[in-house]
Amino acid sequence: MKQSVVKTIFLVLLCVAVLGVASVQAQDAKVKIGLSMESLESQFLVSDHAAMVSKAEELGVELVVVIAEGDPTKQNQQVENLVAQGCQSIIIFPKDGASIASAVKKAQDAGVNVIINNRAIQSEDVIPDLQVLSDNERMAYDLVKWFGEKSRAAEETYKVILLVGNLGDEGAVNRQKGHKRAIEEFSDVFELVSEIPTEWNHDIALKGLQNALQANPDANLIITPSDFLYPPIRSALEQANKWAKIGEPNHTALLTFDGDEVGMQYLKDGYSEGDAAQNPIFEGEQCVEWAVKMANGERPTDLVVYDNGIIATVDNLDEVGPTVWSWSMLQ
Amino acid sequence: MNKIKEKARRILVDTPILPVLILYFIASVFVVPNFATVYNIKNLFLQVSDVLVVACGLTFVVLNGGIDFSVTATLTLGSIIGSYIMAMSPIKHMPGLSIPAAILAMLGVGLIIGLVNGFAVARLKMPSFIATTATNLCFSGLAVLLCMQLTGKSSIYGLPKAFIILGGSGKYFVVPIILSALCCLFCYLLLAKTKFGREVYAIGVNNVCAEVSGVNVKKVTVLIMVLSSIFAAIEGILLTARNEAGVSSLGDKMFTPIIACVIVGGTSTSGGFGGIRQTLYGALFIALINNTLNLLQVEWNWLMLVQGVLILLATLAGIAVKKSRKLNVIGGGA
Repeated sequence: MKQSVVKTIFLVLLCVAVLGVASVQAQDAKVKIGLSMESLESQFLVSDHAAMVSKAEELGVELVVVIAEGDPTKQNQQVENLVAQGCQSIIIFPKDGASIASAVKKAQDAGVNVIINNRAIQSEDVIPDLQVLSDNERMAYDLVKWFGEKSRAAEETYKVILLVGNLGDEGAVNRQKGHKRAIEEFSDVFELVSEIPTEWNHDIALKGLQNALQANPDANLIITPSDFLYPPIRSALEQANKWAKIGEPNHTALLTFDGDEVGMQYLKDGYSEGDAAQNPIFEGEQCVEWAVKMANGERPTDLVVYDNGIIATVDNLDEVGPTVWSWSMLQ
Repeated sequence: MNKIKEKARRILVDTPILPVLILYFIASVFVVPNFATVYNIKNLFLQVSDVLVVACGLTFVVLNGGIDFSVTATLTLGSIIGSYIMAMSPIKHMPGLSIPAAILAMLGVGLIIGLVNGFAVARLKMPSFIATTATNLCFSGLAVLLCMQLTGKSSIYGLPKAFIILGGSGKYFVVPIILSALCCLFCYLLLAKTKFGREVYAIGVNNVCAEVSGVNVKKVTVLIMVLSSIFAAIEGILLTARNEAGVSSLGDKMFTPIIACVIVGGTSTSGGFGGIRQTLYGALFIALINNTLNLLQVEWNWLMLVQGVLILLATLAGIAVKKSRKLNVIGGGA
């Protein structure tokens, strides 16, 4: 038994030693950029992350990546650890724009440049060195507004099922605001019959949608805050025999968000009417470029760079489709 | 020499994670780049304080053979209510009033949730697993609802600077470390030096025997659930100050690291063995692993796997040591 204890402890130390050697071999005198992602739970986040990794390789900088798995406290701890290991700039895709402020302040106090990716910081006192943002509320509103105007002109009305992401996620909250603002503005066109909080969970979304379709069999428009939720949407509509292309009698209109390859494929194939596409490639590349520039002493003239997004619809797909980041992945 | 040997044996039996922790720390000093710097050591202890208080409270429940899933809901709901009072209520411009009111309110949340849990477990005889799962869902949902209704956002910021000091901002970094150490010491003394502490262990070993021996099992059970929630509320105060915001998703992903501190430290989930010292060492070990793996730049897609393997190895080492010795089953060592 004594031997097994000694062996176990030896194994622990061996793990640390091996990891230490591996990391020491990887380090050399490069610009060192830290990247803190809140999670990689959607294709948008995955593409944003991939764009940053690719850009960092292109620029020949060392990129240290940490993933917070959706935990705001863990993300703050990880940013502290990035500062401790000597990163000159840190890019943060925050879980929460308010709680990240303390970590941003600590990093800046330690002389580290901080760039915020996609979600704006919520603070009166803390100003990051740069923010690369998409306007979730405006993009969500613009897409539903486009459809409202089109439907009003065609004298069509819709009973709407609105999916909502995790209400602890600022992006989801802002998209919900945009969607509801447009729904209220076009109250002669849209009647909101059900609102489903999904917690960004497919199982919860599927059950909620099935129940909503059961309670409102004449619902004919589903608005979703992310293409990530397409699998449960398709599953629920197929079960209700409502998964059909535009023009077919049992078609259910779909308005989505993100512009990932799933969403754009369904738009291209005629299952959905529109997709508000952010540009994670642009956002990711801008963040890394400026992280490197600032590490080399350059300062941006503006504190915010906006990703204006692309509202891709059935009416403009030929024109704007190829400009959406996921277009090359479509079949 | 025999006394030293006996003391060392006792330490190994009572706190099997301790030698692993010491060896890992020493190895990290030599092997992990940037580990042994003032900045990083300061961060390490701050990161321990992020879970230590709530883990100490949860230890009481685990010693009792139960579980309390609602600790994360408690700290989240407290965070929202406290932040609202300090940043958005009519008294927000009076920090001399709003801060104490917020802290009292957050502790009040802990008290109420603890009483609900205690009533469900002690009086209604619901298994703690089910009772606290229900209260977790209920009160974490309430936190989200309140935040959305009151603010339309997922978090509340603009907290007074005097409150943020509790989170260790800037030169006040020792504040949460000291506060969590004091809470830990209080819990240790409560378990190790009081009749109540002995009763907690007795119920954890065998609640029937404890009752026959004159222990008021229901009362102790209620007190344990209240303690767990109160300490979760205190942790909510520290985390809200540390994050400088009330966040409606604050506790969503926290239960695993919290319970890991308790279990890895060596407190038995079947009750009756373990204590606050074990939880302290478990919290130190978990924080140490997270810190060193980040500093070692372990690739993110390997990180969880490596963390799990290290925790598994450490726990196996502890079990191996414990099995090789006779156990002192009552008062396994607060």
